Amino acid sequence: MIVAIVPAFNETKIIGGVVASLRPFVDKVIVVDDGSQDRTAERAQDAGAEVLTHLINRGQGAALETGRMAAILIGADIIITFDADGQFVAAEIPSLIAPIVAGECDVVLGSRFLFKKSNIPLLRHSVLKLAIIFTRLTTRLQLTDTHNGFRAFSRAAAERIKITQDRMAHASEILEQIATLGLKYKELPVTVNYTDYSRAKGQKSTDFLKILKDWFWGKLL
Amino acid sequence: MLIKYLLILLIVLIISRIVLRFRERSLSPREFIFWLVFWLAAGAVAFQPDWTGIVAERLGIGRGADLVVYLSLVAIFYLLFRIQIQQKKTDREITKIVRKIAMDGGGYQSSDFGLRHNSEVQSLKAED
Repeated sequence: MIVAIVPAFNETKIIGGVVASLRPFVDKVIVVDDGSQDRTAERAQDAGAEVLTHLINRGQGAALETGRMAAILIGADIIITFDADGQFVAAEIPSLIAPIVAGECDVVLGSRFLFKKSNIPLLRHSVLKLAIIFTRLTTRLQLTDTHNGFRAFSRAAAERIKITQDRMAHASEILEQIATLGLKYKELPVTVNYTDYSRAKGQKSTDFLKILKDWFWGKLL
Repeated sequence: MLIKYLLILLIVLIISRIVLRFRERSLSPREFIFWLVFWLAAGAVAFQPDWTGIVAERLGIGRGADLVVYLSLVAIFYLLFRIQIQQKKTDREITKIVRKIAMDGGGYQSSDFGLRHNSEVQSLKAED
């Protein structure tokens, strides 16, 4: 069973379309509504997703962890993480999970810098490049894109990767766990569309400071 | 020096609060002793500022007032650090509760079989 986890916060306008686009490629879509103040949960459910609701906003990392636990409990064999803001292309799922189905690796990470051309704004590009250098220093993983929410995990890998960083530092945390657990991983190119909606909704380039702060404090616990 | 008497008055008030808190058991004996010693020391410094000068000189710091400022800064930074860590822990606890409610609401439940989906619990019960 292939399960897609979609953490969502105030995505009324777009969540229905994202869920609908995912359904042909997965057996189940779990939307974790992270304390949305709008009709995100309702729209996701109408579009055919199973919805788990965080009563209050706990951050994308927390939502992913809730989704991960649920996906494992319902017996997922492959777990995909997918952003709710419509930046990713669901049709790329079959190629992303192919190496896991073939048993070549445990984790496949989407990369917007590998071959495919994404329309990335210049400032965002520079910040992401810095994050890549940071990850090389802390995990020694040779990746081309370290903050991409489009990933695929085998069940065995998902059972072992626990996310404790509630907010955005979870992206670095997942990579650190891949490194320390010695999981076999692979990067594959994915498309990331920077639409006006996603840019207004998503991270600001300056958020890397907040992420770095969370990452640092997380290390102390 | 009016400031001296104001400070001492303030410290006496604080100490009386600490004693009250200890009596109603909202302070543990350890916390009580820590805060009592802390505010008694602060009171001593307010009462006789020259005493800090003696310690400061031993440590190679020019003035007693400087010593008090340095120590206070160290104490404040340490407290901030402790509070920050505590805050992060509380955050994680809140997330656990929010997650539990989300899982329960989604039909996942804690049962004799561990955390399972409802449908699975039904079939496990049927097998019993």
